[in-house]
Amino acid sequence: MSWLASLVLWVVHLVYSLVTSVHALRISFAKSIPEPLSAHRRRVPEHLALLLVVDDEAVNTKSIACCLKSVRNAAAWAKAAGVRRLTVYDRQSIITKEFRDIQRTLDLGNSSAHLAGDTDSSDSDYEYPLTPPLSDEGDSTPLPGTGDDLTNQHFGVVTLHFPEVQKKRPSSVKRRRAKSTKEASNERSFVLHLLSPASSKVAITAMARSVLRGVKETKGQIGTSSKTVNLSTGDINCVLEGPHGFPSPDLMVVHYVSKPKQNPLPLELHGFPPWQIRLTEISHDPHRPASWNWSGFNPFKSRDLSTASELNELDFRMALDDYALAEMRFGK
Amino acid sequence: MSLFRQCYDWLYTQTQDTVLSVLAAGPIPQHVAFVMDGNRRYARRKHAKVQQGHSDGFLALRRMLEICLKLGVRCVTAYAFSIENFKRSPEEVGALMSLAEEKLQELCQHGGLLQQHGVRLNVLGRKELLPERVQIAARRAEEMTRQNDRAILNLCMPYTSRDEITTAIESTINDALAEDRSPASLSESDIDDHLMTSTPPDVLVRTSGVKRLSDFLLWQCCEDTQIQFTATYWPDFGLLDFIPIILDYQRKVWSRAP
Repeated sequence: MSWLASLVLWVVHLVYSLVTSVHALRISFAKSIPEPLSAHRRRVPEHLALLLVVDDEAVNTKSIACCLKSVRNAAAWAKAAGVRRLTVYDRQSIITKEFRDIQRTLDLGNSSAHLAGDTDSSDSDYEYPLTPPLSDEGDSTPLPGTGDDLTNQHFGVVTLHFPEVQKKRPSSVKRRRAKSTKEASNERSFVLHLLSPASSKVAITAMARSVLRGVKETKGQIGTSSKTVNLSTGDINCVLEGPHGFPSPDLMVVHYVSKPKQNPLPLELHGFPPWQIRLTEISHDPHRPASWNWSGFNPFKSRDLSTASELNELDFRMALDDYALAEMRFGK
Repeated sequence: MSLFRQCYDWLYTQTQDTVLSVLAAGPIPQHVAFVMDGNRRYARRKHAKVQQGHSDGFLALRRMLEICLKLGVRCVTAYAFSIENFKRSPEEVGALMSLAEEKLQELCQHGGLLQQHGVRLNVLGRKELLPERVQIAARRAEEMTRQNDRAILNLCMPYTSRDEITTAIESTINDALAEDRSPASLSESDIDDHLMTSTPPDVLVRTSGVKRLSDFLLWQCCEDTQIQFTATYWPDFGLLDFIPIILDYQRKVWSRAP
């Protein structure tokens, strides 16, 4: 009788496909227009994360261009909405490999990108706010491609600062090298973190190796025969969310650059760094994979991997609206 | 009425078993995790006490555990109590601890659900934070079901994922020190091996409409786990809510088939 059960299951799946397709169409017709980017919202995320989903088989010129466009758009929209920090992740390390392109082409109004740790570039080309000075993070930020070399506690995080440049004063313009380790507290500054799998479990493992290395070196120096390590969540947090890492996002937006394989499409995190998403609100509607036109969905036709989609402003604004309505209880 | 009720229950069970047999003709997730959220909002909606919401939540856990076992799911992990939940009122925490003690005993009694289906119970988390009576009940339940090998029920209480990851990293480092391993030899699989849960879930279900992981199985779920957020409150969650989740999983498996 297993053939009968299989047949009935096949019929169930067919009915499920029809029902969900109709439901997706209803959603697309019924959705309300989200608030504008600069609209007042009950709460706005301080830190927003963007998860770009690209199929392993669909990494091509078009999908790379869509990823970069999505990053540029997301940064501009986030800044317009009052978000102070944006983190972008993709599993194929596309954006970290292209970070120089992003740094060069990202236009956030009257500020320019400063790469954390990039001490040789362009200090003479930019004016810095008089106080506080920008951070100088030394060699804390690795170049893409060297993400596997984590011996110096590099966590594969590329950080770009976009300080707000103050207007020139005729007698007080100064050009100097930043020395402080504190990040600029200018309220209108913006920070962009670019992540790859090197920032995820690989980074946590690298941190464990560093701790072990440090303990062994200490044992060697003082000649003790045994030592155990005691770690707290605060210790781990200081490292992973510290200057070499990135802090926890308040909101995550999931965008499918490649056409998804199924509808509805349940959420998957594709290797996004796990430590930081403890309390992150995740914006994902399985019946509305963003920006894809499902009216042409044909389950019997193989997917066209040459098409790609960039992040849509409406979906971005909808995520901000949903976040404004979410309730946080923190265990209470 | 009693006869009518018996007929109704029999018909309901037969229908449910038929539905489960149909679903089981396709791929079934081997490990399902549940964030059992919404007990208090469920109680408020019914104008009942919060404790009633938690009691009905336990019934939902029993119901879903039975459904999963009949489907062939080999491991169910449920987020029963977060370390953060100790911030709740002493009255609610006390009631939850009493419920936990009572239900741990009930689950493992002879002829009970766990013994019937050959389920081994593991209580995962910072058990030393639990009242002594609950620790004793947990230990007894684990001992009574230790020989069962058909399936596993992990009850995470009190638990947070960051605490689990921290403990795993600490144990990994200390074991490496004891074995005099080189730092370069440490890998992700070493940390995997030191976690409280051995396999990542195929599906994680969070009820009550909240779209967060809330410090649950962060390491295990960040790769290929299908994460399903449903608006249904946990005490109301049942087979009808679970069917589309299983169908989604089956479509994923079929879409990846060579």
